[in-house]
Amino acid sequence: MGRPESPSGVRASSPHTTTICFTTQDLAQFSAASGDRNPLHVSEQYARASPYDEPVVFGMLGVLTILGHFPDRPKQRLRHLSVEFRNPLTVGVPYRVEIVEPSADRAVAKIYDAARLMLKASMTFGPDHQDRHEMAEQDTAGLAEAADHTKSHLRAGTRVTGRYAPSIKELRQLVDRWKLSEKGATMSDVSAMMWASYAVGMELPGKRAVFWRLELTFPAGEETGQSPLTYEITVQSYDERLDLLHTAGTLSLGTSTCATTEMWAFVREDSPRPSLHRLTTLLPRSNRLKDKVALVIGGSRGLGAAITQALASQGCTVFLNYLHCGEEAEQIRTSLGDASELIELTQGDASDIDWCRTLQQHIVQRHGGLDVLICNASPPIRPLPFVPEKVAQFQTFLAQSVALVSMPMSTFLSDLAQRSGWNVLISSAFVRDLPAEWPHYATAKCALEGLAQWAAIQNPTVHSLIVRPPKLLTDQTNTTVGRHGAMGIERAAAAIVKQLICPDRPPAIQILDTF
Amino acid sequence: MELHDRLEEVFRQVFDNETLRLTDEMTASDIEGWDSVAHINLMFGIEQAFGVRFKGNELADMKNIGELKQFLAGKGK
Repeated sequence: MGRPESPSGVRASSPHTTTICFTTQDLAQFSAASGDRNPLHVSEQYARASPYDEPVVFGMLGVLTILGHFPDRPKQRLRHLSVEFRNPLTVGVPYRVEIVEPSADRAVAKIYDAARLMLKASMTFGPDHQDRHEMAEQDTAGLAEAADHTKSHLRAGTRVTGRYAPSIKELRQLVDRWKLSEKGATMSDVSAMMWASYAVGMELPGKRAVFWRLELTFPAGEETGQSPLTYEITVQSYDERLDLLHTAGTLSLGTSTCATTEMWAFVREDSPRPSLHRLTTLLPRSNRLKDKVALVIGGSRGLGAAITQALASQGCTVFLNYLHCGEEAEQIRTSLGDASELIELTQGDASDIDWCRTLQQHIVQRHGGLDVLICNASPPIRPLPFVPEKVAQFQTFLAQSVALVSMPMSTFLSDLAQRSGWNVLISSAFVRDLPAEWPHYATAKCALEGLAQWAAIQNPTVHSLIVRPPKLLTDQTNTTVGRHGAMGIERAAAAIVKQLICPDRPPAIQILDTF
Repeated sequence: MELHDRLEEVFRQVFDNETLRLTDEMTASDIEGWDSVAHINLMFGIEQAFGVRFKGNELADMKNIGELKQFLAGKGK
């Protein structure tokens, strides 16, 4: 027998769709309420060095938000929550939510980005016979920083315990905002959901976590006692193949169990950094580029950083351009030791005409001109479905990609022509092996290769090199599956710089696609 | 249920597509949404449904659905 129509007008078993969008304030509120301060969600700088490139929305915030769009459930209470965190949610993206109620006590909600499933939450409800307890603010502070467990600590049987103290004021605001107590979730239930986020993001595995799955059960027994909320989490297994951690936990209020849980989270590796040692085994140090001057656009991380090291290791003076990652840029410079004085850091937006012109004047004044331009910068690359509602994002990506190459190239081409220099475009093997998820990226690289070829024909004294590296191990690909088959950035950088040190090569268009 | 049908059911769950039909010639590029995350979901889905365990990234190295079915049949599934 179906449940009668709810006050919000959604009949049991009828599909219900709505749109949600997250703001940075939503993340801050959830973090304050839950005590989950995992930097992947709250630190722009930290998130930028992750595969996601920007703060990721707390998965549990996604669950609470869709719960807020459920029909009211008078006299019902959440008993079980099962969540698959399929893909990262980000701020400012309008997501479609689809809610289906297969029976009176079950609901399945899915969050989509166009046709891409981002999150799936299944909920089971039961009768609510309990009195609702008001939760009192606790004086226990949670962890100030997320734990950083390495693989060796994550063995089966490892156990952590602690007290959990959500901020009652922030929690109540969140519960009231989404009217969660009318949807079958009490303050205590929402606390338990937040604790699951805290348990993964702050405790096990902590800082490196990417939440993958959750099973959360709310026992039907009577809640007794007041504060404190205490927890216990135990490692069940660690899957070395996928760096996937499985834990089980219990949250208790006094002597009664508030929730039991099973949680799965990926444990992210450290951000890959270029290694000068690996580089010099492929490209021994020399002075073959002494008196040459290079500009690397996007040189603080990934391939650009390795190219910067490779050029300086050959005696080349290098202007390292970066936009945000000053710390990483400084690390690249200092990694060169005695040769660090060859690297000059230059912060700025390479798509900005004023910045490019100012830098050009500076380089000409200091060194007389430029010999090598490496166009390596790209906007962050995220999967983008090719559907009409995403075409605006597609166009923005294309415009940014082209601007980051065309502005420095148009500024410095005449300097390169005067010194018979090198115009190097970092393209991608994806121009041949077109990736299904990245139509925008493949289109941008094809367009930029066209520009590089045009520039070569119009400037016959310039050497032109189009580089098509395969998948590289960078921050972008530093995921469990992404690392599989990814080539080291040092190998690509060494191959590129070897092209530049070939003596007496006549100017021509070359494509480098073998490494 | 036949191996093919059981496998198809796992794929339908993972790719959130109730009408998905598998053929032996199908590869990852034929199935919309087969990205790195879906790959892990698929790997675990198959392991749970068939009681097998892939070595490393064995699943990624299989060239098509036919090869995956041969692998499962070889395990007596």
